Amino acid sequence: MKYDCFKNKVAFITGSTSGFGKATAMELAKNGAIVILNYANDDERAKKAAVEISNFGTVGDCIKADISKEEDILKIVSIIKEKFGKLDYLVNNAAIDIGGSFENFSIEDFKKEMNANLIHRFYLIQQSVELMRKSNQPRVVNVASRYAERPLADASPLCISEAGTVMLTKVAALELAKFNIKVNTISPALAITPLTEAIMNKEDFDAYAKVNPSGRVCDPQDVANTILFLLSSDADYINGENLNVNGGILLK
Amino acid sequence: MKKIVLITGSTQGIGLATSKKLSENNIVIINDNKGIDDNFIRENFKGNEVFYFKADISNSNDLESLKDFILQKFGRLDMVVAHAGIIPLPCDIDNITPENIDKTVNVNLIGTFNTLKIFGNLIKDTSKNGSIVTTTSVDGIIGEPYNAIYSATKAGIISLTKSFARYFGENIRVNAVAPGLIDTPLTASTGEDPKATTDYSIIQRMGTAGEIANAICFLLSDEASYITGQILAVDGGFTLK
Repeated sequence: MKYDCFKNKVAFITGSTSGFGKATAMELAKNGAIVILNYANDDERAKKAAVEISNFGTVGDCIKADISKEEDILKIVSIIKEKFGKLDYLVNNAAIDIGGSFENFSIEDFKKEMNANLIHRFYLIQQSVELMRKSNQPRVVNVASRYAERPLADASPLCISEAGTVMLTKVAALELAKFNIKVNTISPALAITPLTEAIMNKEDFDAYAKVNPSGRVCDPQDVANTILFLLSSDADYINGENLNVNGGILLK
Repeated sequence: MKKIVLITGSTQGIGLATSKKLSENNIVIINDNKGIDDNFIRENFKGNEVFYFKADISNSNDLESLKDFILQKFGRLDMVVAHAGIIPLPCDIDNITPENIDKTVNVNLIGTFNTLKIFGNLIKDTSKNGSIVTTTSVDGIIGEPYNAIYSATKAGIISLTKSFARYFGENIRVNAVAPGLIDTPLTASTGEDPKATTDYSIIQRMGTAGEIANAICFLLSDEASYITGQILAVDGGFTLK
């Protein structure tokens, strides 16, 4: 255990049965937090993740809810309220990526992606304020990506929503300071996760590692380590920041 | 195996807090340009392995002597916190003196450059897994009309951090912390009214040296092994206003 500040804290991480979210939930559980998992579709993977994490700590719940749907955001908050009565940490991690060229992107898909990746992140934070005010160390971490600062072709709503997430962090930090809620962003780079493995092969990952100043792709553990730091009492004076965990890729 | 860490400008304030924290798990070389009392290490470091070397970072010969000391004593260097720097008394742009400009640039910008060059190369030559953290300031990000040259040197340190991160690539990570208003002897010496400044911070308080030390230690550690070329503001949200 690296931190002693997480014991019995209630943490909710969206999209936490694979990739960055799962690594973060695992690390929080190992450090004594009660983790509430979330997933949208894959019941089997969620069940497996919950069992795996509960071998190392406490899984408070595993909520099936789709962050692209407004009613599901409310469902999440009401479950946490009923079961735990407070929320210490919110990690807005889940995101969707519907690819497509700028000129052909359907407006319905664009709206769906903006809802999931930006508007409902705002909504989840807003609806969680009441529960977070019952915490003595309330924190929010929003997970954006390097596309918040540098565009990627065929992913316009992804880039726009990530850039919006960085500003969402700043306005939330500014306005929620009166409740002692601190809000930061972490922007990871490409990692090998089920999401990226579905669209990339080994050659793609190797090519990316080659151009990254750190010579490798991101590991979900890198992301988990940084999120834990930002949630911890060590980061009490860090607020409204965006910390890139990208091996230095934006330097190029 | 314990790591060998050099931290420049580390006998007070943020540097001292950081060296105390680092000395819990590492062998630490502390430094300033003034010299310390015989009891300083015993009083501050509870028997941890801490060594002092007097050197002025604006003098390359001093830095070379420090390098020789490290090589002879440990044969290796793993991490550097390039923290040493000066804050001149606040002064408006029309009244800033050439001497003030020269000194601030020589220590903060050129001194930090030489520190990164000499000790970064030493890490590269002697250690497999190196990490460097520099100290800039929110003034280097947002500017400060009553300390324009100081702010420019701190902006320069941001650029040096990125250049050295690219230069050392996967061998050595280089990151910066940008403290906001921190309660230290140095900030007290500028005569700034803490009340006036805490009003700006959206969390309504000054930061502590320990909070900057926490961020520096995180960036140095393996927990941050995929973070390089980054500037982490530790300012309570100061730069949001």
